[in-house]
Amino acid sequence: MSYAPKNAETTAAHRVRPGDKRAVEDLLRAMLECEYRRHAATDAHVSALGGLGHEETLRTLGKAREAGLVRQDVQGWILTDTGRALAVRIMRAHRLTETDLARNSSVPAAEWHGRAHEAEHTLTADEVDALADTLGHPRFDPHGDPIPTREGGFPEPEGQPLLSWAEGREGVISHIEDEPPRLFARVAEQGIFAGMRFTRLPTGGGAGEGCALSIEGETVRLPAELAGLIRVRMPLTDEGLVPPEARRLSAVPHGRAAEVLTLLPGCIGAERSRLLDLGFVPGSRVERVLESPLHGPVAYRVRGTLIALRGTQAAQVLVRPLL
Amino acid sequence: MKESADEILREAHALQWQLPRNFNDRLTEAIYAESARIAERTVARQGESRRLLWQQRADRLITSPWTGFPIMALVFAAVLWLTIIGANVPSGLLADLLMGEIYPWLHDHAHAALPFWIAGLLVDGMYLATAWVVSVMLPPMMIFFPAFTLLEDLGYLPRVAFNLDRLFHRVGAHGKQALTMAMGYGCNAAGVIAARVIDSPRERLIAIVTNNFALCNGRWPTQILIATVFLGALAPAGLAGFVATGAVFAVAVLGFALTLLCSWVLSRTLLRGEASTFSLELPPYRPPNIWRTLYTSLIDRTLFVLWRAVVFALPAGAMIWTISNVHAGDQTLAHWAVQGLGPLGFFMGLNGIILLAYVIAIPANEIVIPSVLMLTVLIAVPGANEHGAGVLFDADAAAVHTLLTTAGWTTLTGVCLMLFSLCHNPCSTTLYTIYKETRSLKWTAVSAFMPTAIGFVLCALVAAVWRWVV
Repeated sequence: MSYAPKNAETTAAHRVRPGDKRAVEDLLRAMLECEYRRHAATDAHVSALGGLGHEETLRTLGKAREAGLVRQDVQGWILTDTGRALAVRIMRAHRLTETDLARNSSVPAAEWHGRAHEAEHTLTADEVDALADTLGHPRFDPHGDPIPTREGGFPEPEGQPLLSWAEGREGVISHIEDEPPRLFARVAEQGIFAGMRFTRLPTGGGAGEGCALSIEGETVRLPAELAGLIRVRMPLTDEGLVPPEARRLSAVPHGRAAEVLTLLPGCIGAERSRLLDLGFVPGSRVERVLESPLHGPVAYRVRGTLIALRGTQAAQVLVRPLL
Repeated sequence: MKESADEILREAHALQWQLPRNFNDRLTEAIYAESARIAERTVARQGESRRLLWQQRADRLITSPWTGFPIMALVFAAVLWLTIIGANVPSGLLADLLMGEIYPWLHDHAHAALPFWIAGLLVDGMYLATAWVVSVMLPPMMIFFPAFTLLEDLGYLPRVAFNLDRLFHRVGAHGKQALTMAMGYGCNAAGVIAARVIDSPRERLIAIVTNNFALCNGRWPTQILIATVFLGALAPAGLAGFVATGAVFAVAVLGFALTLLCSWVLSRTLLRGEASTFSLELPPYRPPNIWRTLYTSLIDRTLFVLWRAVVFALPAGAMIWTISNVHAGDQTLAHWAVQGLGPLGFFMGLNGIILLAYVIAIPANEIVIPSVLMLTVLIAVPGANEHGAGVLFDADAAAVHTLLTTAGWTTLTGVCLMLFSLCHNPCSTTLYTIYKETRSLKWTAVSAFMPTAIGFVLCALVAAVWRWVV
């Protein structure tokens, strides 16, 4: 946690020429990432994370040192308190913007990162605070990463890579890496979001073939390249386990009834309130009664009314089939 | 004291990360679940099992992959057919009264009492245009609007949205766009406002921009009249009604196809994004209250739309008369305009008069046909105005056919006019509504130019192929 004086941060930032602002800010954020993941920030590492060439990275690091934002020691580059405070502010802007895009827009998940990357350099501190206010001060972004508070606080990293998780063990997805965006989009397409409960299923093949998970009542196979983006943690005591008979509402066969257990974490913002408003609340009895032609939406009878949902939405409702 | 306050804050900040991650969601869920439980305990429901059974049967029939779409097409075609057949006789009677009886009387008296230009402006311009609008529009609207209101009251329209959602989903749009289209069949301005039911801004914009492809009431009379005059006339008398209905139905289906196509293009270019969510209540079927439906659709829609048409017909009539009577050089202004637009009109299978009518009719689509007919009488058929104007202003299909063929119209002109009537800029009221709803000049411009461009291309293609084949 860092509580750096704000004035020092602003004056230091002013010492950076406007032309170098973007590059310096990107570097600071890359270094914060290193610090968070406990890597040493060597030239090569920072250059890879910041997306700049080697020469350019060194030049920009020099500028940042002149401004008192970073310093160098034997292991590599280190953020000064002022530099860290600035980096945390940029990270906060980035993650709040992503949360806003996920909740309040139909921008595809693959584009969140790019857009947030633009916004983080242009949003003022007041605008970021206002955004946090309208979003209700969220603690985690859609990837499961903590959003720093206004004071700059955020917790230590948690969890471990999914591929190191033991087969047959239950856990919770704590983080999905959003770089590279192409792979992240494929994970999002599978309907996998941070906060989902899972059990790693035993697979016959070798370690290079990825893994199979039972995620909230649905079985998903992940190739190693996608599984590598996912970090997982132990379930908290009050998170409960997924009952073995649990299914997604979309998997309930025609004419059958089910009881709603919960709405999944991937269903956020207005979509979540809408489903709750319509009566998809824990304990509700839901019956699948009507199919539309061309395999479009399906209508469910819930609390005496007929509600049509698309398949992707019905997949956000975890249910227990009734006999 | 200050120290301990800081410590408490620090402690609170540290603790906030230890709450379960979905703690807010679980809190809301618990509140909803608790209120549902309370409602369950305290609200008694009366058994409706028998009604439910036939409702389920009806639902299965209406949404089945085999019968769902045919039923939709049948219902839609039946409404069109009723409108076309039912409107014929009252349209003829109204035209007889307003133009056969009243117009000559007004014409004679006005020209006897007033200077030439005042009498011409008032009677030959404003009165005649208004009389045309009333006799062409009133009867179809009095059938079409109540019929659609009945379908709405029955609960059929949400089922249409349910059936069509998959198609809209595929093109990146929202199933409720079917509802905005249904409104658009009445009036595009109303359809644009109805797009508020779509939550996602991206999909709402798609619904707004493409609403123009739902033929509005101002264009149904054009479609119906031209289909009857040019296409119905090709078939034996007994089948004329069906052929005309089929032609209008085909144009409406083309409009639906263009809606899907444009939605698809938009959601892959200007309005890129993911399909959002779709949740729609399918209300129980209710027996409609027929008298109330008739009353409200007459007052709210028919008279409202007719009034708007009349308000725009008056100045348009005055303008038509003026440009047809004010000379610049050796010709009237209308002649110059028609000549100037002529080549473009020919290229699109139309003529200069039609294009000029569309410029005059920007305020309201309703006055396209009256403008076309009046301009044709005044310009293309010399002498028609003097002898037996009342007969030529008859809404009777045979008389209109004679008038238009005398002016050089062919079946190609009719077909291209029907296509251009589907694909051209929305009327100024709709454009203003689009601006009010989107607050964006860009999207208003897209809504105006996209359909017009499509109309130009479509008509030019049809004309080229037609002339090559025939």
